[in-house]
Amino acid sequence: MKRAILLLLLVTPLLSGCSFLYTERREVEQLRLAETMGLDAAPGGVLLSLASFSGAEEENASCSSAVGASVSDAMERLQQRSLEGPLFCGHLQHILVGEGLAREGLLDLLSYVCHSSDLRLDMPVFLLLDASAKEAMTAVEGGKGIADVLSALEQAEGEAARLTSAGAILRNLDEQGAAVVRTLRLAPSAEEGEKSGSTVEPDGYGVLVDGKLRALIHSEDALGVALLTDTLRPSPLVLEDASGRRATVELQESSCRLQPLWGEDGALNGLEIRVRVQGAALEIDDFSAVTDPHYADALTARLESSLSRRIGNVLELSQSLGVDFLGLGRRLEQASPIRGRGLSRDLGTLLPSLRMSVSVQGELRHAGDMN
Amino acid sequence: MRENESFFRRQLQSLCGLALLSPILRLIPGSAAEQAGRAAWAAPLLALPVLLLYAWALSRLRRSLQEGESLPDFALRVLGARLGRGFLLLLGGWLLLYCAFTLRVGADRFLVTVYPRSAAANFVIPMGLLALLAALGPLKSLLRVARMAEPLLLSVLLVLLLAGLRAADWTELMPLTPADAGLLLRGSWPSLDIAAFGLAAYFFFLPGQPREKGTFRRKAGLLALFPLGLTLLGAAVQGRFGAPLCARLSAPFFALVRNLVFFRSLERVEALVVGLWILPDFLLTGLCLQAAQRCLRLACGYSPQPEERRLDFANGRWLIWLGGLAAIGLGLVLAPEPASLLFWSRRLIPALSLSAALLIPGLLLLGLKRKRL
Repeated sequence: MKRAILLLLLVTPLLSGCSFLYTERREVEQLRLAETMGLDAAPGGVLLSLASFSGAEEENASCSSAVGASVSDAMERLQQRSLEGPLFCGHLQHILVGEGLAREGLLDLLSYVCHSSDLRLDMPVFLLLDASAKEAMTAVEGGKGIADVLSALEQAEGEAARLTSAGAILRNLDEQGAAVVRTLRLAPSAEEGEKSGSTVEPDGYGVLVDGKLRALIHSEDALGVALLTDTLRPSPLVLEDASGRRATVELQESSCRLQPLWGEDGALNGLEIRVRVQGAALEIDDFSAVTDPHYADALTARLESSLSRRIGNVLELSQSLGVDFLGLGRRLEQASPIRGRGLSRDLGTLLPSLRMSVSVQGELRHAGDMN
Repeated sequence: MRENESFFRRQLQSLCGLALLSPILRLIPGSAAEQAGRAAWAAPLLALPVLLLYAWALSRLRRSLQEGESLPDFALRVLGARLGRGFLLLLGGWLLLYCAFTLRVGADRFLVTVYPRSAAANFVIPMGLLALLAALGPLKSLLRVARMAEPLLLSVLLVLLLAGLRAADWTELMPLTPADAGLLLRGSWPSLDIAAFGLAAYFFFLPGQPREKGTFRRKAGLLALFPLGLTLLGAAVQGRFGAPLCARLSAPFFALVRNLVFFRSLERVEALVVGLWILPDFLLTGLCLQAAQRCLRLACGYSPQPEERRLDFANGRWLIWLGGLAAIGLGLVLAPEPASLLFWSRRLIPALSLSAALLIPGLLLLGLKRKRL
């Protein structure tokens, strides 16, 4: 037994990565820790960019790129060309994809995420509009650059970020044939003077069908996606009251209920969507009007109308594309397991012929001391 | 004496239970998801009645064995010299193949999750040599390793399971309707296959198993925990990734571990967990080699003894070396491509394993019947 233990101890270093046997061992100070992966379309393949910083010094952020026939090929080339030290991708946090590549298709990338030993399936994927991922990664400066900005965005998104993780996109593409991905745009940063530069800001969503970007939902209608997928986070909405004055309402909570309309033959004929929203009046030009119940009712009606329009736009897009990128089928199947069986997969094909009705019920509360 | 027997049974139970952790994390829920889609996580529950029936049949059959007799001795006794030897050669060959496959698939787990640039040989050879060492020594050494590893492995698994269940999205698991019954049935095969191998190993492969009455009743409750554990495991992984993605991933459980974050700061613990899973691989390969060497030595006319010196080549012990080295060699050449390994892992080996689990008691029953006639 003692000999067995001794032999076990002698053999285990072969598996553990000890330095005298495992020659590829590196100290963290020697590594470039990659945090953001950028991908763009390039002639004959993909342009891979990695925003990384030195393991010894966090402020030393830099971006390196390489073109390859595939993501793994580009990664290999990037590793070979890295002058500042070996790139370590085990702590990659985000993937940023250029619009061009998204239109060509993201299935290769998602397959890479699936099979890579470095990448996590929970990593959020962002789609950059009107600019390349590389452009954004080099334009955003300060701290760890793009990684800091994307981390802040991810935190602000909260639960909604899980909707657009690589794993969720793959899962939705597999189950529904379509998925949404968060879109960003390059914009000037808020800082002025020496620190002024560029940043990325959230826009709306991109709709992926069979892995390819097929449509965009711009910032105004993005709220419709949040309401339909129950992923609303507190956010301001600027409305115009009956007199044409601006009123800002903070949307705080929402719930969306789907009511399927079944035909006599048992087929799904339509869908009633009932959304309840709670909000608080934040900024109103005429402060005294807040206590007037007629004014509050009128503002609530404006809020309901504005949200109905946004939800309607998103549903219209879903119907015109004939794909269920919102996962409505899955929710219907949850609600009516027997009659709705298979809808998580098949709703997309039914959508164009379905009667849709949307009703929004708003509830406005007064914020803070405005009571 | 009674206390010793109970202690032995407990050790044997640990060995067979822990050895199964290797195929469990390979097939659940990936293979089940491929077969049963969304119903995969609940499918192991459906395997319970069949498992109980199988365990009952094995325990009844076990009572026909004489004191200290294992399946190989029993096979020679009831099937006769010629048929018995053929049966033992077949069984020994199957166990060596299963051992080789376990070495290969264990190496693949390292390659897929931690060391993508390494070669399978770096893992197959050391693990194969360790299994050979276990087979050269007495069975009690392997049993003790299992008892020592049990608390560590089960507590790690429990922590990961709870963390996985906490992050699971329940909409990925429900709804299940009566229309899913067919899918549930299909999805229960991997669980049945895994458990059948474990039961066959517990009752038959190694010498000294319990043969007294009441064994089945005592173990039935414990056996019921097996599908329950697999169900929770399936729910944790499938709840995170959904069934289609689970079917697509080669190691969904370890993908789950890679995605877990503890206390918002501790992450990427998969290398540690994969490293720890050497233990179930070691126990499974050790168990297979132990059982295979006994089959092969009996088939070649030797008579294995309980206490033998590790480096003694007499009494057919050279067959242990031959078997161990053959398993390592086979592990090096078997299924070199990921696609072929997936075929071996999800199709060929489960089919062979299930066939063996059915054929072993079937043949022995036939032999018994013939003898009585």
